[in-house]
Amino acid sequence: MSLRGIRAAVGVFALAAAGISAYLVTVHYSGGPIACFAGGGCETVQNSEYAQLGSMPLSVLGLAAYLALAATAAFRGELAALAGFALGLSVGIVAVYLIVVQAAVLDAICVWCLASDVIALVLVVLGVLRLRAEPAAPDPL
Amino acid sequence: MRMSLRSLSRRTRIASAATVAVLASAALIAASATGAQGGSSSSAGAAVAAGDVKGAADTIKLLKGIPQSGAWLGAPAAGVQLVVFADLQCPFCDKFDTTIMPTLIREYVRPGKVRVFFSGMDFIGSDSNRGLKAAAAAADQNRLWHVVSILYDNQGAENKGWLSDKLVGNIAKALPGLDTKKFDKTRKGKSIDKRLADWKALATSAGVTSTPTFFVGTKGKLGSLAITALNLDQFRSALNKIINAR
Repeated sequence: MSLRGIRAAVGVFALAAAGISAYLVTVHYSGGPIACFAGGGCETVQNSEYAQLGSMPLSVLGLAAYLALAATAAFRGELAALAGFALGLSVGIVAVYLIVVQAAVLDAICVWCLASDVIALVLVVLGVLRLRAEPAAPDPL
Repeated sequence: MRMSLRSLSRRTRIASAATVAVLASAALIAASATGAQGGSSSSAGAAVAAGDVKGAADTIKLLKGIPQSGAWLGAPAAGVQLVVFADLQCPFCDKFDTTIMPTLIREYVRPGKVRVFFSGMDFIGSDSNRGLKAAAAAADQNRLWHVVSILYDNQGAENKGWLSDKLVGNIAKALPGLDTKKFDKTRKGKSIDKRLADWKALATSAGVTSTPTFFVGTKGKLGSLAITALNLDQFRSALNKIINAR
């Protein structure tokens, strides 16, 4: 895959995940019902303490991280690639944690969260691919 | 030489980015896990394994991840509220808590449909008062429902000494996330009388004279729930009616 293709993929996946996060944020603050498929564990997960960080829903942080990731795709260069890699790795690690919490602790799966988590893992891979494809910054020495 | 220096420098940059990512995600996971455990850790005496206190392990599993705030159990955004007036020594309250409440928690509270408020009463005797103070002290650490549920699991004959300091202490030590020093200081201190007085005032204003008594409805519009027998279907029917009408 070309560097341009990788950056485009990062942008598309990050914006898709940002869209999911935005939906979860909207549902949280509007208090409306959450559309759930395949069994309906979304409310259980979204109303659990694990979906909160203090008084803030985790989806707010997710939205911010995915938008920042999408922004890194818009820039060329190693710095943007490094930022994208770091952000991708962060959301990827948190995604693994959240998948474990859903499956092992809450015994409920939120398909929105799961979709976002899977995208996060894809973004980890894309971050590595981009770093490999991106030319290195000029040697500081 | 020039190539290897460049390579090393790039590796260092990547390693730094990875380190930052790992640290940031670890901090976030720690904050999330700590919050879900109640925000503090046990700090006094030897911890008691949940398996050593009857009902503790099941209660911890049942309530895991459900938000608690003071005497409330469930998501603040839940549209329907259920208020439970109960005495910790009352046998029918015990029946409600052990046979009906777990299902209500799984079907209504965990999914965020219903939020439940515990309003304690202590008219049966001094053991009730001791238990109520323990529940109120646990409420200060958002663990009231753990203490109440485990106390019901250990309920004995009225005023025969089953609700002892030792039992309360063991329950506290078995609960992850409860600061036992703070819990003991609170339940034995004067400040706890305020919450007990609030519960008493609520029962008086609602005209509650026996336990268990239930009120159900939406926020600010609660009405008495007439229960002819402690039957799960009566609760399901009442809750579904309000949920579907919203």
